[in-house]
Order: sequence, then structure tokens, then C-alpha cells
Amino acid sequence: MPEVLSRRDGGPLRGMKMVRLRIDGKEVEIEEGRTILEAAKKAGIRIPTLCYHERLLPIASCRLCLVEVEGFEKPVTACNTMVQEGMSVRTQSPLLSKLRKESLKLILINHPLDCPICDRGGECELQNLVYELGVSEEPYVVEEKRERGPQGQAISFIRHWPDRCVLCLRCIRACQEITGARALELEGTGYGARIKVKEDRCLKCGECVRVCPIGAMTERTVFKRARPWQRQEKETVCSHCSLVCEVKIKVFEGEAIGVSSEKSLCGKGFFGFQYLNPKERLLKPLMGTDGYIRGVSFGEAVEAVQTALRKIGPERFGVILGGRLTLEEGLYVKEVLTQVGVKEMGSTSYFHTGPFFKAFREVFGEDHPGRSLEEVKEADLVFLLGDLEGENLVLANWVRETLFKNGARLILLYPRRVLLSEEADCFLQVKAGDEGLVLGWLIQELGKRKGLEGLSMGFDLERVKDKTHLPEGLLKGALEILSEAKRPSFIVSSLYGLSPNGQALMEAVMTLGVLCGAMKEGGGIHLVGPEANMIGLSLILKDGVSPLEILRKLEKGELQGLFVFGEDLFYKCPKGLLERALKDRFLVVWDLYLGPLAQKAKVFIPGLSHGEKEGHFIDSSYGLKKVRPVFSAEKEAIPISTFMEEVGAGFGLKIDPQKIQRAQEELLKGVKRFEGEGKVKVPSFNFTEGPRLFVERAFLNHHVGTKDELKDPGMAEIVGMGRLLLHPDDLPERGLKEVRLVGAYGETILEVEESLQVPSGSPCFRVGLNPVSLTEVMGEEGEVPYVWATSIKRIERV
Amino acid sequence: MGVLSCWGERVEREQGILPLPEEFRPGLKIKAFMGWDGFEIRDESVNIVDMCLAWMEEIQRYSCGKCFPCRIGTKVACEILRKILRGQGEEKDLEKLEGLLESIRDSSKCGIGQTSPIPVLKALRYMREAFEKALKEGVRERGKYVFRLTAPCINACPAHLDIPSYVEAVREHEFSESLRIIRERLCLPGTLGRVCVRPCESNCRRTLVEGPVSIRELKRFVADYEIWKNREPFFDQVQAPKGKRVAIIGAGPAGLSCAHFLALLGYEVVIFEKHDRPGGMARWGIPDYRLPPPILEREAALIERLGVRIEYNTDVDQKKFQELLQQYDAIFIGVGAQGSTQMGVEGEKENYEGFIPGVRYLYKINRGEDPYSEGKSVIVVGGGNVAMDCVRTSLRLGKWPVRLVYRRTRAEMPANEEEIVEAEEEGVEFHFLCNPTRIIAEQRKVKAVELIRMRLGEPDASGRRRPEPVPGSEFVMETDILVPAIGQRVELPFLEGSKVKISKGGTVEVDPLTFQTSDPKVFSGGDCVTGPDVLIRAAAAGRTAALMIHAFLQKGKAEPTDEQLMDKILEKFKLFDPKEKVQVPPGQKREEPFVLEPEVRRHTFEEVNKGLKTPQAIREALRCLRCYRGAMVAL
Repeated sequence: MPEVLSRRDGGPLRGMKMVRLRIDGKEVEIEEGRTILEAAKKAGIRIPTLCYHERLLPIASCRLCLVEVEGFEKPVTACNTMVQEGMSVRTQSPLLSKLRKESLKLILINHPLDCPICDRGGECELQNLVYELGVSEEPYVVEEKRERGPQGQAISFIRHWPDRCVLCLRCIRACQEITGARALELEGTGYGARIKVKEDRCLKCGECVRVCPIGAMTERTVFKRARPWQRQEKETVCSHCSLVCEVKIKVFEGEAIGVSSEKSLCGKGFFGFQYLNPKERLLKPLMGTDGYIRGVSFGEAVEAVQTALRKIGPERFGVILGGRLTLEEGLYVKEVLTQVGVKEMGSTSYFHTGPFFKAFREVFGEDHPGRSLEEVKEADLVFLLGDLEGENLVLANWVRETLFKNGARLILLYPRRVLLSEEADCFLQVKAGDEGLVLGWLIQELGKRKGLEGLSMGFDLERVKDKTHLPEGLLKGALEILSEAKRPSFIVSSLYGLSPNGQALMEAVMTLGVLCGAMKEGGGIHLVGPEANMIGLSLILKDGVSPLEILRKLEKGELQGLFVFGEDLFYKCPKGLLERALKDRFLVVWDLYLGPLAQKAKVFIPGLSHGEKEGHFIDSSYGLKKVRPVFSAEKEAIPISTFMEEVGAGFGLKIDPQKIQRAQEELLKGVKRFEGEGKVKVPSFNFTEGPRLFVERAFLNHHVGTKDELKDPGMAEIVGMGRLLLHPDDLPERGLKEVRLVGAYGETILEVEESLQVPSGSPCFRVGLNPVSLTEVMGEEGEVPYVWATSIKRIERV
Repeated sequence: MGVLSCWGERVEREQGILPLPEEFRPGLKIKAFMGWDGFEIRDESVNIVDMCLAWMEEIQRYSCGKCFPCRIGTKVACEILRKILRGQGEEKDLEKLEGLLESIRDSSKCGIGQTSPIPVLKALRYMREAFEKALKEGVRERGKYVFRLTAPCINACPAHLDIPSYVEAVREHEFSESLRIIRERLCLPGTLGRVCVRPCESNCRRTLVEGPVSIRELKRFVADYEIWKNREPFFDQVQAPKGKRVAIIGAGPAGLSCAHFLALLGYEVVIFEKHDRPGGMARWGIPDYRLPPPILEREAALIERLGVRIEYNTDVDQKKFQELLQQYDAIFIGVGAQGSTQMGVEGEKENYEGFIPGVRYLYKINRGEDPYSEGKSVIVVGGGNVAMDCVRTSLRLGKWPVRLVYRRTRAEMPANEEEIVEAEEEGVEFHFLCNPTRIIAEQRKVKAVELIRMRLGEPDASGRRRPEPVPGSEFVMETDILVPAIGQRVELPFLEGSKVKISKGGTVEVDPLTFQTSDPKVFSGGDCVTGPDVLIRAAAAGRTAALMIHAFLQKGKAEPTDEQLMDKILEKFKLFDPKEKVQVPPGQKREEPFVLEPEVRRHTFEEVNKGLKTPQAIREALRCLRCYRGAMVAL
């Protein structure tokens, strides 16, 4: 049975017999179920195409790939005709040439003469095809002209040009098949057919721009433009989330002007790249004394650090590493400062990995699952806790593909109605904090089915129904699906860990995984989150100490000094605790800008941007991804390795870069693909009553700036400013634009947006570009900052 | 320029080749016809150039826009033709037009682009003079035309569902949209997606490549998808209340359909149903392993959600019928064919225990009861789907042995081939070419049946060879249960003394296009009009009747629409040509749904066919060739 028309990754087909055919006299052998076009590609024979795209099902709208098959009078399209044993295909003939040229002539009618100003000039499929097929005259006339259309669509960075558009339909198909947003549709019939944009459905991911073969869907994130022969394309990886997609940065005159990729990307990766061009960065080491900040030389700064280390004592220093540092950077810090005598080391990535890995150890007895997200593509059930849409959109696309390609089922446990809810077999929409009720009940019932009677935990179905308002049919349906699943894949968003029940929740997910055999024959249990190297740093520090613990020790005075590398804690840690912790302490910050944290530093070292360094990340699939420099580093920017070497030199340390290299290589060697049983751990939750908060898009790369200091306008559009998504029933008064949110740990003022997608009693704090407001309501007593399912005291008018 | 008819390979002057009626409507003659393989001009007043422009303009309107040649090419063709009509055309325009049309024909993606150039090309070839004349003088006459877009599958479907459209929606992953398209004309997609006899598939051009597109499975898939993913069913908006009331007798497919569409139009509808659950023959006649009751229940519940009220356990007798005539503005009769045809054998009327007519047999079983628990062995007489249902349900009740007796051979059995095969797999014994002559009973219980062997003689009116008894070949088969399932009868006792005329065959007499009876307030459709027939025809009749009732109540008169009249004309055309050499290389086999194994399924009433999985449905939808064809009459 030909699977190929459902696979878009071009991967090998299992169990398909091979078919032999001839194309232009050349013999080709290829699997049954592949198309003539694929066979021609394999044989190295070119068939012209315009609407064909590897990642989409064949569209067959352009009719350029027509070929002649022996035994058939009429030509057929190669892109969607399957190969047959003994087929004889001709790709060139006078008839084919005539028909192809005719197709092109038809779309060139009224095609505007925009090539000189069109963004795609020089990399336009239409230009290439007209050139290749030799169309040099336009015999047809159509009086009706086409409008240019308004500036911008959905977001100001994506522009659709209806007069250029040839309706190859790639963008509509991409928005339909890849992301499922369905923000584009074909409106009208015949010559008047147009692409219609449904702005409220647009995910702003730019998939349409990436698939458009011509300049009908363009992006204009930055003002600078360059033709393909003027610019360079540098390969590197995106650092916005733990999926770490491979990208190519377009560089012109030393500036990043765009991103390209053959694969799927999300809006952050595609539009949010300007922070790679740090313009207003600091390039001089600074020291702050008595309220004054002055510029110093690097030597002075290093000396001050060494002095402080000696005076205060290295054992009274803490270190916090940002979650987007490379492995090499993290290893340098660890290597040097450990030898100097610093013991308390942690990373903000702990917030995202701590609860998960602790739970994993509890249930499976191993440190790391070591499984790849590729396994999700083979699953027959995806159990998803998280929305994926905001943080890891590309994974949402993979999940969607699995649903359609495998007929896999989806159980989604999340408070807000998202795109994947439409495709979920069970969308368990529960208020934040009530997940434990559902998970507990599922574990209990699933356990009973597997003969584990002792799992009766008192999760009575009526109680669960009563508290969660989920219909019985849905809960029982989820139970059925879980018991039938042979290859379930669990995906957990790290945000679920940021709650007082976070650990218990993670353990519950693991236990459910055990009962389903997820780590045995199943598709694994996976963690995804907002920081590119969170897994990597967790491996380096073996989790390490929680940054909150370090802050608490600073507050108590057990620690007197703190190193922070590549992170602004004021955007990630509870504000009150942080301010108290830093009072009168010796703070050393290595970063790009003078953010709120750096302003409190005693020593500030100007660092490298993500676009200037070389190193590695470890992604959510335990894969090694290489960070490559896109620009040459500023002379005055100081790499962490240099900084650490200089500091270490003062203590008589000499660092061998080879050792760091080997340490980096050892990291992944220590992770095995875990495939085994786990133990069933009965979780215990503390359920609270009343309205509860949950968060989205909370832990962005701080280098993109804030609403007051925008460093990356692209991100501003994609991510937007923070707001509270509130069910209309929860709004204290109609027509309010702003509210004061009084949480269990603090209060803040936020813009408000009415939304029917969130349940009443469970508003969503969508953080966006003003992360400080989140830190005002974060809980500080745990190992991780509490933001998920924290109680709301009241929401009132300002 | 006189009469000219060209279609396929034939060209005739002075005589028509197409199966067209004289008149479109009473008093409105058909002056010309243009279609996917040519045209026919009957009246000199028709100007072929104008007709070609009208044709191309309609094609532009219907062109889906999803391929370059058709979307743009037909627009260019329109502009060239318009230019010619204005008298501004040149000779080279005709050549340009011909070249363009040939390209569109040879490179378009679907039937619209592939067939619409053909009549114009033929006109340019056989009526060149008319075009030459137009180049010089232009054309002043503008004709009046009625256009209909169809396809072999659409034409074959009694409800004329827009099949290529809803199949393409599946291909595009728009399953809800696919269901919405289906629901424009059919309110029972889950039901029909399981049991429809699929005349569409028998007319599917893909059959000539590897096999028909699994149209029925796709319909079932999108109906089930909505249930799996808990999506809110999307219906058209219910229109503003019209303030009129319609009574419907019978909550079977015809009645439910009529109710659904009347409710959407804003009418107050009440259905009077004899039994305690909706569905009619679909519920009581079709076993659970083919159509699980929850499916039909859900679809009836959705109709009730539109505001339709169903009064169960209400038998409409003569008196009640007269009351309804008083209380309601219109009535639709959809009572179906509930009675059983008699075999005409000795002992049939004796009411022996163990003798149970097929319809009643299935009714009991569908209620969850064993019709005759004392009896173990079963003989079912008949060769249709009801007979198949009877034997297969007998197995599931644990009856053994289960035998089928049919007077002709397997090849002549009218039942669905897949039903016969599944029955064979499950262990039903088939006895062909024999027929009962006498029932043998002991103490008023059936003990055996005397049968006589048959042989096939000359063909009868239906074209099948008549079975004749072979004298002296009687033999006896022992059995506890005898189920005659040779046909159903329509029973209409409540119409006695009413104005509604009953035909010689015992069915309700109606106008074939408006479904109106001799009493203008009363309409009827389904098995009670046609005799036992297929579900989809009943559902289609229900919908059409609803539109006709609407016209009757709003305008005082029920008249067939232009679309109906075009469809009626097209029914005579052979849209599907089994001898056609379809220009598509075979390579994609038909997807097969998962079906339970015989050993497992014969013991339970669990649904046998589990349907297609999502990737299968998408792959199957990719096979559709979109064989749209246009048809236009000049009036």
C-alpha cells in the first residue's frame, strides 16, 4: 500500500517492493508508490515544476510537469502519477514543450513587471522557468486587471501580492497541511479566484512565505534588502526553544537580514533574528561602585573579580548559567570556577528540566530518557501536555503530521483551546492545577485494567467530573485510547513543572507512561521547553543547584557573591527574592546589554551574541546541534572562554581547550537510550480551590528585548506584549482594558483580552515582551518559580 | 445555420443524435444542447457563436481555479469570443482560440478543463461559417441558456451530491468542510456512509484505471471524524420561521430527510412515527453489524436539534390522517414498504410457529430479541439484501445450520456482492436454483420445507432468465425456522377514503419531479412511492419533496427547478462509458477498510467494517479524477 503520498519527509519506505521503469530511455529502480517525478529526480532527470513542494502532497495546479507515458494518448502530471513496473516515460517532446509554455504564457498574462523591485528577483521560480522553457512572447490578452492589494497581511511583516500571485496554491496547502492554521483559503472561481487571508487564524509562522515560489508572499522584517548574489547564507541553529531547528541566516553588509530553511520553522525562528545584530550592545567592561558605573579595561575587571573571589572566598560564590549558553561555554565556567573553589552552580534551565528529570529518576531510576522526538512521528497515540503552539510550533507540526500520516490519536491536556484541540480525540480542557485529577483517575483506572488493584487512590469518577466539568464520555474515551495504544508518545511542556504540584504532576505523567509502556515499546516520554540548551546544561551540571536556592542563600548571607552568565534573572526569577538576594552582594554579569540585572552588577563583562560564537547545543531529542558564527565577533566582545581563562590564570590555572572539547563529547556518550520498565508511583497532589493562573510564552530569549527596550522588532510582532487572556465571565467589569492581577505571591498590572478559549476561573498569562510583570507574581519558596496553577486572589480594575 | 448534431465520433445534419426531450418545460422547447462531448442544434434561431460564449462563461464561473490552463485559459477564451461577438474579431483569433482550447483540453487537471473545450472545438470545425460570419458582422442575438455542472458520479447519485467536491475536501484535510458539503443535500451521512448501495461508485471513471474511488467509505470517514474529534456539527443557518406547519408520517430516511430540510427552511415540523425509535427500515431492517444504532440515533437527534419534533408510538390511521389534513399546512407521507411479499406456497397463511416474514424477523432481532428461541435451524428464502441480513443475523443469534434458498443462481442475486461474500465467509449454506412449494408442520410448528429444483429458461421483462420448476424434482429440507425474504409490500390503509390516489401496484401515486400526490397538500416519497428501493433514493426524495412543499406553501404551486429538469435530461445520457480508455496510468490501488475476520464477527453484532483510517482516506481521495462535465440547453 503506497505510504508515500502521506510521507513528506522523503524517508525510506519500509516493505515496499521495487519497481523498474524507463525515463527518457534511462532505467530507474524505485519503490512502488513513488511518483514519476521522484523517480526522475533519482535518475537525475529534470522535469520542470512550479507548484510541487517536497513537504506538501502533490498539488498538480501548474501542469508544468506533464510527461508522456507510453500507451496513453494524453500527457499526465509526473508529480502525482505513481510509477508502474515497465512504465516508459518521456519528459521532453514538442507537445510537452508546447503545453508547458502555454501554461506559463497563461500565468504571465497581466503579471506585473516587478522583477526589478520584487524581493524574489534572482531567486524566483517563475523567472527561472520562463528562462528555461524559453517563453518570449505573450499572445494572450485579458482585459480584467488585478489589484495590488493592501500593505501587509495579518502581520506587517508578511505581505501578499495578489497581482503577482499565480495561484500555485502552495501557501494554502502549507497553511492547511503543515500547520493546520487554515488562515489562507481560495476565494472565488475562475480568473477571479484569489487568496483570502483570515487574519485571526494566522499563526505568524511564515510558512506561506517560505513555500511561495515567487514574490507573491514576501516578508519584510528589516529594511535592508539584498539579492541572492549579494548576500551570504550562514548555517547555524535557532536558539529560541529546545527544538533547536537548523536555519540559515541571510547576511548582508555585516547584518542579519533574514532567515531561510528548507524545513518548517516558527515565527520566532523566522522573524525573530534581529537580536543577532546587537546594535546597542555594550562593548566595554564596566564596574559599578557606590552607585557609579564606569568603563574599565578588561584587565581591571578581571582583577576585580579575582580580588572578590579571594576576599569573599570562592565557596561563598554562586554561579547561574543562562539556558542558551553553548555546552562549551558552560563547561568552561564549570571547569574554571570549580577548580577555583566555587561549589554552588546552577542554571535557569533547571526551572525547565528539574522537575521532569527528578520525576524520571523516581519512576525509571535513570537520569535521562535519551529518546528522540523523531519517535513521535511513528506513534499511534500522542499524549500531549502543553500547547506547543506558542513555544514549540514545529513540534506541533510534527504531531499534526503524525495524526494524518499514521492515523494516530491525540489526547491533549491543556487549559486553553488551541489548534491541535480541533484534531484531538480527547481534548481534556481542565483548569490549571486540575490536571492531577485527570491524570490520577487515568492512572487508577488504567492500573485496574493492568491488574494493579493497589492503585486505588480515591479518584472517584463523579468527583473528577464534578471538579473538571469534563463529560464522562470524554474521560472514558481517553481511558480506552490509552489502553489500546501500542506505541504511545508522551510530550510534556516544561511549564507544567513550574507549580507547587509540578513534581507530582511530572511523576504522574511518568507513571501513566509506565502503564502504557511508553518507554518500552512505546514512543518515549519527551520534554520540551523554551530554552535551547536546557538539556545540555542539565547534563553539564547534572542538574546542579536550583537558582532559587542560590538566591535564597544569597539572601541569608550564606553566599555573598554571584556570577550570572548570559541571562537576565529579572526576567526569570521572582522579583522580590531577587532584589533581596542581590542587596549588597558582589554580582558579576557576563551579557550583551545593561539590562535590569546588569545594572546591579559590580562587574559587567560584554559578551558574545548568539551570532558570534561557535559551540554546541543539546536539543530535546538528545541530539547535538552545532552553533556556528554568522558574523565575526566584535573585537571588544569577550568570549566566556577568554574571561574564564583570565580569571583562572590568577589562581594558577591553565585550561586545556582539548579537555573542554573532550568533556563536551563525553556528555552525550553518557546518555543511553532508555528502554525499560519503570515503577508505578502513586502521585499525591494538593488541590486548591478558586481561580488559578497559567502561563504561556513566558521565558523568551531575553536578548530580544522588552517592551521598553525593543531589540528585535520581529519578535514584537510575533510574540507581542504581555496580556491576560480572560474568560468574559471572569472580567470584573465590561470594557476593561487593563486589570490588576493579585496573585498568591504578588500583584501586577496587565492588559486584558477577552477570550472564550480559556476556561472560566483559569486565566492565561501570556507573557510576551514584558516579562518583568510575570516575576512580580512568581512564587519563590520552591526549587522552581511557581507560576503554573498559582492561586489568584482577585482581578480588579486599576 | 440549420440542424447539426455532433457527439463523440458522430456528426449528423438534419437529424438529432442526443436523447433529448422536445421540451424543457411544458411550452418551452429545447432549441439546442451543448455538453462535454459536442452539441446539438435543433432550431435555426440559435447562434452557435453566442452559445459558445455562454458556455465558456459558465465554465469560467465553475472553474475551481486550481489549475492554470482552465482558470486562465477559459477566461482568455471568453474574451476572444466576446471580441468576436462585438464584430472586432480577426481570422487569427480563431486560430488562437483553437490552439488555446486544445491546450486547455490536453493539460487541465480536471473534467471541467478537459471536456469544456470540446464542444467549442467541434463548433469551430463543423460550423466554421457561423464564426466567419461573426468576424465580419458580430452577433446581435443573445440566447437564453440553462447550465448544469455534473459528473458521472453526481448524475448516478439519486441525491446528486457534489461528490468530487467533498472528496477533494478530504484530500485537502478539510474533513469538516467535506461533511458540510455532504450535508447540503443529505442529512444522514454516517448511515449512508455505511449502507448506501453506491451507484456513484458503479459510475466512477477510476474503475477503468484500478478500481472505483471508495466514495462511500470517504463519506463514512468524514461523518465519523466529527464524532471522534468531538466537533460541533455545522449546519446551515435555520431560516426565519415561516409560520407554517408540516406533518410527516414516518421517521424513516425519507421522512427524516424531509423534516431536516423543511426545518432549515424555517417550517415547524412534526413527525409521527409508529415505532418507538427513529429510522424506519434503516433502523429495523438493517442489522447492527452493518449500521450501529448510535449512528442513526445521533443523526436523528441532530435533526431534532433543529426544532423537529418526533412523536413516537403514534400510528396514523384513517381518522388521524384526516385530522392531520386539517391541522397542518402540508403533509409528507414516508411510511415505506413495511409488509412482506407472500411466497404463494401451501401453508403460508397458517401462521405456524417458526414461520416469520423477513421484515418482522429483522425487526425482532434489531430490538434485541430472538424471534423464535425454540428454533435452531433456519432457512431464508430470497436473494436480496434483506435475505442476506436475515441469514447473517441468524448466525449471530447462534442459529445453526443457516441456509439460503434462492430460485436463480448466485450471479443473478440482487444483493450487494460484499454482503454475499461476507455471508459465504461466515458459513451460510447457499442453495441455488430451488424454490419452496410447501411448508411441512407438526403440531403447528414448522418442521420442514418441500422445495423444487429450478432451471433457468427464457429471459423475463427485467432481462434475467426466468426460473422454471423442474417437474418431479421435489425434495425436503428440515428446518425449525422459515423466513421468506423475497420482497416487501407497501401498506396504506390510512389513505382509504382520502383524495390521495393509489397506483395499481399499491403505491402512492405522485408526480415524479414534485412528489406531489393527487391531493395538492399531500406529498410523498421513498419506498411507499417506488416500492422497495434503495435508501439514498428515499433520502433524496425527502429533500426534494421538502423543497417542493416549500414552493407549494410559498408560491401556491410546486414546480420542478431548472436543476431538476437538467438532471432529468442528463439521466438519459451515458456519462459513464465502461469502454472509455481513461488516460491515467494505473498505480494507486483502492484503499480497503479494515474488516473483522469471519470467525470473530459471526458471533457478535459488532460492526464488521471498521472504516478507513485517516492516511487511507487522504490517499483514497487523491485518486479522484474530478470528472466534472458541463451541460447546457438553449431555450
